[in-house]
Amino acid sequence: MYNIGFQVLNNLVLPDDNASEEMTQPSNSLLSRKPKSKEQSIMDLEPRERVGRYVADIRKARMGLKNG
Amino acid sequence: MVDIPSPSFDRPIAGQSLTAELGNRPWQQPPQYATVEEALDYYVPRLANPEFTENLFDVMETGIPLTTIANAMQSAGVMEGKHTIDVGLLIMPVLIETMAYLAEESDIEYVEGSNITTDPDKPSDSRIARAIAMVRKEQGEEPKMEDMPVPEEQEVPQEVTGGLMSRRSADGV
Repeated sequence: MYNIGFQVLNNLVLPDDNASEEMTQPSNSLLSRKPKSKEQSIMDLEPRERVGRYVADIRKARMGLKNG
Repeated sequence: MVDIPSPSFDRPIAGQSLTAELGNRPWQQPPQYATVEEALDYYVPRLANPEFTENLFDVMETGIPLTTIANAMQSAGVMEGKHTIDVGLLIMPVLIETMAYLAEESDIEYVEGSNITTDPDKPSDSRIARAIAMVRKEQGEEPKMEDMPVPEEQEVPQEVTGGLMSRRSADGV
């Protein structure tokens, strides 16, 4: 059976939790780039990546419910 | 057994989309919520509404998968002109996950619909049909042309036409 929900869930790209965060020191020079806020950086992502993050957040909360 | 596609009559009539003036339908207008976030701001508070969740849990307990429920919800949103199909498909995983969260919070059993299990020991119908065809071929059980009944030719009585332009018969009549 052709199930759109099944296809959508299977093609969902969840963010990798183990991805190493950039540990660069912020530069103090005048022309240095400002560090982006978290909200702004999420909105810069592609819509499907943003959806993946939202799903990961809700799933994390759901797993928290399961584990008590 | 091989699946033979059966005709579906639950479809719009050809040309039905042209029976209304272009732009009169909600989905032919610009969507009310253009982004994923705007659409989620519309859906998530509704999902959390106690009146809605009560009905939602009833549907979940009947065994309808969350993927089907989410698809119905977003299709209705598209038809009402709330968002586009693209945004609807994008928000589906969030809707499914939110419904799963609400169900687990209230200890409701649900079917997610994301894992279609297939038994590796059970061959598919098409494979069975191919195997049967191969066995029949090896055993020579295929129906041969000479065995097929041939319908007898029947003489069709020719009508005698009396028109000026009609073709003359061999008798010259």
